[in-house]
Amino acid sequence: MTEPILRITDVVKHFPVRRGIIFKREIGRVQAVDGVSIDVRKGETVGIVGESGCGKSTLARCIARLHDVTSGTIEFMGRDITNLTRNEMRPIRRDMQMVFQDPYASLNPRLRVGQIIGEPLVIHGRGTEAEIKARVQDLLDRVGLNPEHYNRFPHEFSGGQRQRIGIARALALEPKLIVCDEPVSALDVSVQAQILNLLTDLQRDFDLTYVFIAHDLDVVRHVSDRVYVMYLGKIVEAGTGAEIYGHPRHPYAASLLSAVPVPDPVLARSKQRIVLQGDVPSPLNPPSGCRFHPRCPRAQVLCSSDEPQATSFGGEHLASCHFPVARWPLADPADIRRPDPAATVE
Amino acid sequence: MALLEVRDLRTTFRTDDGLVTAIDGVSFSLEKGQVLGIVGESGSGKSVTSLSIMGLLPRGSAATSGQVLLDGRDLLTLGEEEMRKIRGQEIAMIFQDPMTSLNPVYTVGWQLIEAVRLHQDVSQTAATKRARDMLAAVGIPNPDERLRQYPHEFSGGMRQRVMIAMALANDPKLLIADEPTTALDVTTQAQILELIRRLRTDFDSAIVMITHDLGVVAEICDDVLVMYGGRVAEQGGVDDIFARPRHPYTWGLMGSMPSRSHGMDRLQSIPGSPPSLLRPPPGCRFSPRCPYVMDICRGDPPPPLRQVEDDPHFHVEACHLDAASKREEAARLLAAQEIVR
Ligand SMILES: Nc1ncnc2c1ncn2[C@@H]1O[C@H](COP(=O)(O)OP(=O)(O)OP(=O)(O)O)[C@@H](O)[C@H]1O
Ligand SMILES: Nc1ncnc2c1ncn2[C@@H]1O[C@H](COP(=O)(O)OP(=O)(O)OP(=O)(O)O)[C@@H](O)[C@H]1O
Ligand code: SF4
Ligand SMILES: [Mg+2]
Ligand SMILES: [Mg+2]
Repeated sequence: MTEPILRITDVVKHFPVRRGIIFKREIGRVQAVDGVSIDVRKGETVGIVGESGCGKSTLARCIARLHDVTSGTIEFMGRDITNLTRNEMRPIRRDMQMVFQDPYASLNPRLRVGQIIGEPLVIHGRGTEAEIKARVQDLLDRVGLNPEHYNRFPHEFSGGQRQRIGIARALALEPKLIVCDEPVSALDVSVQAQILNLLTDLQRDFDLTYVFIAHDLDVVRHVSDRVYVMYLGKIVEAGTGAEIYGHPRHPYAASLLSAVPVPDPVLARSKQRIVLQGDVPSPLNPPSGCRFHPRCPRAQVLCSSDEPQATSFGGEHLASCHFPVARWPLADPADIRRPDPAATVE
Repeated sequence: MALLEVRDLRTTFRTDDGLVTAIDGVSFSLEKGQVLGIVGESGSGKSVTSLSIMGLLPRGSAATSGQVLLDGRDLLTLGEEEMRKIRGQEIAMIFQDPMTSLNPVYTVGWQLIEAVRLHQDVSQTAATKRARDMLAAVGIPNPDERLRQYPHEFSGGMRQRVMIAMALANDPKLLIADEPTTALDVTTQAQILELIRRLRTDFDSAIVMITHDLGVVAEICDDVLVMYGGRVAEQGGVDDIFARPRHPYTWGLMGSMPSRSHGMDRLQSIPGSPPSLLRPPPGCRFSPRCPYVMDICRGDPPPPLRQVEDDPHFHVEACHLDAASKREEAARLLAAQEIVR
């Protein structure tokens, strides 16, 4: 098995919530990421999926060291980068780049596209002005934009084209790893498909490794070799795409999958759905035991007291659940109900 | 007679840069207990279609022609005063972002009660009871307590439920939902879709469901209208459209979906991006992006919507490509797609 290019171990990120005017006192902590471990191997795409607020972006920002972690370690290309200073991080940034959801917010509107893409090259002193210009035009071409548009401003481009600009800039320094945080979520489906194809092509041509974050399960399945499912700051299930989508073991992952609309009316009619009740609890005060227990169709008393540990289901497949889903696809509603109907949760 | 019959709806905006024909000849009919989907990408004219039906476009800058027959009465001929009565009572609408239609300074209960009393001559007590019952009907726990809370105390999914409760407060004949689940998480979306399914079966509501997601269409719609650049590309029963799509844009939408491309390295996608309606491409508006484009497509607008020959039901499309090629291409594309479930 290949050495991981990125290894995240037990990463915790809590945001203190403070009240008070002069003496700010901590009144609580948003447990945005709470003990996450992820391995990313060279050349693969690791997907991280989960609903709004589960901690995906926070995790991405911890990986890129845009946040300091509360605890845990982040190793990149064999080196512990958890506590590197800004200066020490600079050479690392060459190898690790980020692409964000909203390409408009992440592109400086006053700079021309050529300057935006060339900026990292200038900062890292990569060549003369003419060389940098040639390289930028090459990059524009590579991401499917017209090299002649070098002098245009971001607002002259459509959403999909701006995302291409963001990708070109991320590619400028020939990184090894790109962390993509919802790179296609703001795009129309036809344009989303173009960007996904572009990412696929670039990975093949430049030997890239991706961490791909999204809330869309189908998109994540399409791009990822392996997938991690997050709920309220924790990884609840991990495995290859085939393992997780073929037979989700965690009731949350199963519920998510069953909730995705199927674009085929015949299949949609025959599908068993798990409609979860209520809302995701606040990460300020997450539930005890298994964080999913108040909404889980399978929860029993144990779930509210004991936190489930990751259990193997063969291969790479891990899930943290006391009562994993035994049968998939769900043949009838009983497949997802409590194993022991007499047991109740408070 | 259909509950709602829209005929040749056309809306033009006067803008600083010139005239924009945002929708150009939309027709459909909808019966009680039916859900009609309007699907298409950003800017295709979905919202303008619903706002035109509701008479909610600025009368100064927008001109709408055609007919919108609700129970046989043409809404486009009515004055503002009459339309105000119809909105909220006979037709209700819910939007993508419930926060824009809920007032943050009033409690949810106050707003619901107002909505009831605006259209029904009932006592405060009766209106309060109605408000409470509606919250319960859309699945909000502890409705009595919730009535006293403000919109910001509700989550996104709960606010959308409140909007649906408010929309249904006066038993409208028609509900128009403009991307009601787009801003929501998938599990919350599933809750709202479940609620809409129930409205249809339990209340026999007629629903227009606007979405950009073919998955949502397949899940809850009976009929669907595929829009591109302000025009209808293809229209018919959901089963027919999914089994026998006949327009290259519909093919592109289907091929772009990762969930229909299981095991494929690359998605089919559609090159380019949706057109500007200020200066729409001449001929077929899809022609600059269409893989099947012919010379005629660039010059002549597609023929008027015509019946798809091999479909017994109402199923029409507008494209220059000949029927035999379309049959073959659709069969080939569908055979290549494997749907994940
Ligand atoms: N700087 C911050 N200060 C305090 N709380 C924060 C901060 N950043 C994020 N949070 C909180 O941490 C939790 C996780 O947020 P995060 O943005 O990581 O979620 P996400 O999974 O990326 O969600 P989305 O899908 O909406 O982007 C949320 O409850 C959020 O409100
Ligand atoms: N008030 C207006 N004045 C001028 N043009 C408008 C106005 N409202 C909408 N348009 C134009 O009409 C076209 C159709 O817009 P519409 O809002 O119906 O699209 P949509 O299909 O709902 O897209 P989305 O998925 O982004 O909501 C767009 O090109 C838009 O720019
Ligand atoms: S009419 Fe021509 S350009 Fe338009 S979709 Fe059909 S084949 Fe393509
Ligand atoms: Mg995020
Ligand atoms: Mg719209």
